[in-house]
Amino acid sequence: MRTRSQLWAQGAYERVKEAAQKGGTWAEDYQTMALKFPVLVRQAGLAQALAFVDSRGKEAHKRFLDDLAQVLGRKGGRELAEEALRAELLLYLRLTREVLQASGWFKRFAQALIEGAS
Amino acid sequence: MNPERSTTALLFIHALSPLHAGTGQGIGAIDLPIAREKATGIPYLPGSSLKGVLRDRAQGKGWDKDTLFAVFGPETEAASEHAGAVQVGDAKLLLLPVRSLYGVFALVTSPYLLERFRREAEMAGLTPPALPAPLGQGQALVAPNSRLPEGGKVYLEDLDLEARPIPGVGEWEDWLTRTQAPVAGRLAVVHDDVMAFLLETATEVVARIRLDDATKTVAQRALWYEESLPAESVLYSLVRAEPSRRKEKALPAEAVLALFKGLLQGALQLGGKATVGRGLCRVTLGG
Repeated sequence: MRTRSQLWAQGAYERVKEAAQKGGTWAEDYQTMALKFPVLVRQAGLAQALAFVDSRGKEAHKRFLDDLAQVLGRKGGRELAEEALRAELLLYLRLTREVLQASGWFKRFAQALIEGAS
Repeated sequence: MNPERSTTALLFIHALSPLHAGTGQGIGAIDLPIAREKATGIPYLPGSSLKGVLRDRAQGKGWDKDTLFAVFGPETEAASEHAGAVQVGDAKLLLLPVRSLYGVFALVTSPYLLERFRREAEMAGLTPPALPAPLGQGQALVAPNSRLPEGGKVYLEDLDLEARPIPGVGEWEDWLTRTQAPVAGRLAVVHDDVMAFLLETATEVVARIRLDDATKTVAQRALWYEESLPAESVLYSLVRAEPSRRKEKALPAEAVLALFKGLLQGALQLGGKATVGRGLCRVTLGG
């Protein structure tokens, strides 16, 4: 048996590594979103943060959201965003907590694996 | 030391600016998170932080060496000589300010927070009101004349909770006016699970940067996120005084506590990030 953290860390590591290999501004965009997303959730709320990233034009941002959603066992970012909109209070609280913890891993690995301005 | 000769008091700490009791470094979403109890996740201010600030204030007030060492303990090099006569407990969170659609903000607490507060308040000889009745996850208990509800709902951050006015919450509001926090009409008791969520997500998080001197733009890798308890938070700390153990200075427990209480006048600066305005607090004696 492995802990939740391990599973999320592994998933995040593999996906961030793949993003880093793309290099260039694409990887930098990905990193920017990975760094600020957890705080976005804290400051704006889960549903708003997901909708915000989903509405941003940049492909790397949406890819980040898809990666995050997949690590949490969803098909993609859109599915996670819709689930957040539908969720009853307690499920919403749990979803927020899971997104925060998993995106914390994305943030750490994006700092470590992607060379960028931030 | 005979415990019957000790005396106990309860302090209320009302944050006048955001309070950053840090842990040094975080590995999660926030770079500089605040200290939290391991098992409960409830934010706290370490007793050592409060004690250190008061010791410093005592020195500033010109206490003589023997009194200072008797009350707070000797200098580190002589720490083995005797213990200080005052014991300052960790300050635990009682009321968390949360943005509210009506009443600007609510001071939010939960049955568990009230229960453990009551436990410690009783040790200090206080008798807070009885605990309010159990409530559902989607509910918020408020006082009958509360300013928070509108159309039967309380709107905290983006949570819409069913308002349940009960007189018991009004009694707590009256009792808690001694904290000097603006609690009248603002107290909301939510389910413990909802409280846990608010404790995780309703603390203040701000981005801080360092500028590059030459370009006046953000320096490389100089953006970080800092967490604090919001202004208007209320914490409490149990303080116990024993008779002096210093042979040069005999003081009964009551005198130790009286000396300690004399240090609480005026605002104190607690926790970190003082030079950017964090941690201005008002400390009042609960009894």
